[in-house]
Amino acid sequence: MQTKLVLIALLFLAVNIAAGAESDARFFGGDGDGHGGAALEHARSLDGGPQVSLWSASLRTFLWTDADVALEPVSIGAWEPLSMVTNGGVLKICVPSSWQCRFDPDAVIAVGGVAADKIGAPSFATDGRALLLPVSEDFAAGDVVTVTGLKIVDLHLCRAGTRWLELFFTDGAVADVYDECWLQSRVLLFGGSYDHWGTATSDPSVFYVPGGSIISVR
Amino acid sequence: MDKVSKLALCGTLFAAGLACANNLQVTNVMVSQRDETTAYVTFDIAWQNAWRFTNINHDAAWVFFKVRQEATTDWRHMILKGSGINPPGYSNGVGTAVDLIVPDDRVGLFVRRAEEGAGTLAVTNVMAVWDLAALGLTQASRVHVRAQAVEMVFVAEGAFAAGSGGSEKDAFTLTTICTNDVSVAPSGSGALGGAAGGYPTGQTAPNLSWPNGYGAFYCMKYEVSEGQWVDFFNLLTDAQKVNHDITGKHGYGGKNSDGVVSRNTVAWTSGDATTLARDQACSYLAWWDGVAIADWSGLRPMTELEFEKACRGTLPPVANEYVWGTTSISATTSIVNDWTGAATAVGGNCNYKPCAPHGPFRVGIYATATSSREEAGASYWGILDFGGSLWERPVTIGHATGRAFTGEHGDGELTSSGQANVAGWPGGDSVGAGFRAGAYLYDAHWTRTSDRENAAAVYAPRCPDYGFRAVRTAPAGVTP
Repeated sequence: MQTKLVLIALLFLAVNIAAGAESDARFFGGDGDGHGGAALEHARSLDGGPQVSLWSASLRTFLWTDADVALEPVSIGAWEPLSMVTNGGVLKICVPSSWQCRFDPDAVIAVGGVAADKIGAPSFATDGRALLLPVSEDFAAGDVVTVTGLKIVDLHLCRAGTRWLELFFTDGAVADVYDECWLQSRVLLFGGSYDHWGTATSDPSVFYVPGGSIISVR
Repeated sequence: MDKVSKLALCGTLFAAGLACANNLQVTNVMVSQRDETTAYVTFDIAWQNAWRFTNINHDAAWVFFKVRQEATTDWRHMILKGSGINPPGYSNGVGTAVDLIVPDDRVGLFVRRAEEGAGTLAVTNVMAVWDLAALGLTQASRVHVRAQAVEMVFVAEGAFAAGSGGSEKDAFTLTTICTNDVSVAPSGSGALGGAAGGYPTGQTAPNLSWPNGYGAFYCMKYEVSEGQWVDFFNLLTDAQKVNHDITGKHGYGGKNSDGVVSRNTVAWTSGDATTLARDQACSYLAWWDGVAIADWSGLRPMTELEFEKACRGTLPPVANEYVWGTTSISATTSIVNDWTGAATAVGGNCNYKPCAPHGPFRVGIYATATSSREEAGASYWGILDFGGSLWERPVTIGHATGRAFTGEHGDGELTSSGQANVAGWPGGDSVGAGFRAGAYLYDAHWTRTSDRENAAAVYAPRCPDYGFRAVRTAPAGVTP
C-alpha cells in the first residue's frame, strides 16, 4: 500500500512537470515592468556627413501682431563634427527663410554651454536675419553651445504657419540643419456682427440764443 | 403744489441723438456754441474689434456730418475747422483713448485708438469743431445734424508686389512697387519680385498724381451695405433719389422690384427707402451709384494697384493667391440667422459661385471671435469681403481715362441730379473703371488677388453682383 502511494505521488509530479509548474519564473514579478526604449536625443543626419544639431528649448507660438517675441534658448550640439566646425569658421543661425522677420539687433545675446569659450563675439548680419557665431577653436564631439536672449521682430511679415530656425555651418545655399522645435505664427482677424456703419441724427438745434436769463413760473 | 419750470438759456442748447443699432455706433449727436464762426459738434462712438498694432496698422471710423437747416430739405456737408492729429479745440472725449485725425480738406475725421491694443473702443463726448461760415451759417441758424460713421482700415505706406507671378488672367507682370513716384519705370530687381518701379512692368505710366498704392491710405473694411446705402439715399433730394433708385429699371437700370431680388432687399417708391437687411452687402450698385456715395462720404474710388496692396500687404506674393494670401478656398452651404444683423455662415471663407444661398451675405460674415486670416477671408490688413461677394470697382491703369485719375477726394456734395462731380474720376459711363476679385456669381479663379480679366472692362448698368467700396488717402503724418 505504501509503495502504491509513492507511485501515485510520482505520477502526479510528472503530470505537473509536463503541464508546467505554477511557481516558476514566469509568474514572478517586480516594479517598473512592461516597457523600455531609447532614442537619439537630437536629430542626426543619415548621409555620413557631420552630425550637428540645432534645438530650441521648446516650441514657440506667437501672433503676427506681436511687436516682438523672445525666443527660447537655442543650442548647437556637435556629435561628430568631422572637422566641419573649426577655428575660423562661422556658425550662422538664421530666421526661417520663407518669413521676412528678423532678429532684434538690440537684443542682448549670451553664449553658454561647454563649448562657449570656442565662440567669439556674436553679431547680426543680413539685415538682422542671421546671427553669426565665430568659431575660435575646433569643435570636438560632444561640444554644445547655447545662445540665449534672441528676439525676433517684424512678425507682421510672417505668414500663418510653422517654420524652423536654420543653422548654416558649411557654405551651402540651404540650411545644414533645422531647429528641432518649431516657430508657429498665428494670423488672427476677429469680427462680430452688425458691422461697419453707424449713423445718428440730432434734434433741431441752434447754437446761440442771446440773453442768458432764467425764467421761473410759480 | 408749486409748479416750477425753468428754461435755462445759457448760450447753448443741447440735442439728444437717435442711433441705429449697428455694431459701429455713433450716438448722442449734439451741437453747441463756440464762437461767431464755429460751433462744437459732439458725439459718442463705439465699435467692437477695434485694433491698433503700431507695427502693422489700425482700424478707424471715418466720421462725417450732414447738416440741414430747418425749413429746408437739402442736407449739406459739414466742413470742420482745423486739421491734423488732435487739432486745437477738439476733445478726445471720455473712455478709450482715441486720436482724432482731420485731413486738410476738413470734410470729416478719423477716430482711431491712440494706443496699442485691440477690443471694444467706446468713447463719449468726442468734440469736433465745425466751420459754420463754410456753409454760410451763423449762430442764429437752426439745424439738424446727422453723423455718419464707416469703419475703415489703414493700409500703411511701403513697397508691395503687383502681380503674383502665377497664371491669373491678364495679371500684372510681377513688379515691386517701391516708390510713390508713379513715373519711375520698372527696372532692375525688386525686393518682392520682378523689377522695381512706380508702376507694373508692361503698363503705361499714369499721371503723376495717380495713387499707385505705395502711399498710405484708408480702405473701407466692408463693401457698402444696404443700411449704408439706404441712409445715403434717404438724405438725397427727390431728383437725386430718382437717379439713384436701384429698385427701378430706368437710367442705369436696377432690379425693377421693391421685393427681394437676388437677395437685395432695398425698396423705394417715394419718401424713404427701406431695407430688410441693413448689414448685408448692397448689390445693384452701378459705377454711377458707387462714386456718388464715395463723393457724398468724402471718400474716393481706389485704383487697382491700391487694390492689390490692400489685399496682399507688404508680403512677397504667392502665385495664384486669393485675397487672404493662400490658394485654399471653401464654399458656404447655408446662412444661420439670416438678415438679423448677426447672420453666420455655415462653412466657407468666401462667397463665390458654389455658395448657398445665392446672393450677397452680411458684410464681414466670415470673421468671428476666433478666426484666422484665411478663415475670415481677410486681406493682409484685415479688410473683409474683398474676394467674391460683390465685384470691387477699382480705377484701372489699363485705360487712358483710368490713368487720368488724380485721386482727388469727394467733397461731400453731389450735383442736383445726384452725380459725383470730382475732377478726374471716371464718369457715369464707367470708362476707366473696372472689376476685381469676383462675385458670388463667379467661379473661384476670379477672386484671386491678381486676376485682371475684367480689370478694364466697361459696363455701366446696375447688376445683381455689383457693389462698391471706397478709400481715402491717409492724411500726412499718419502712421500705423
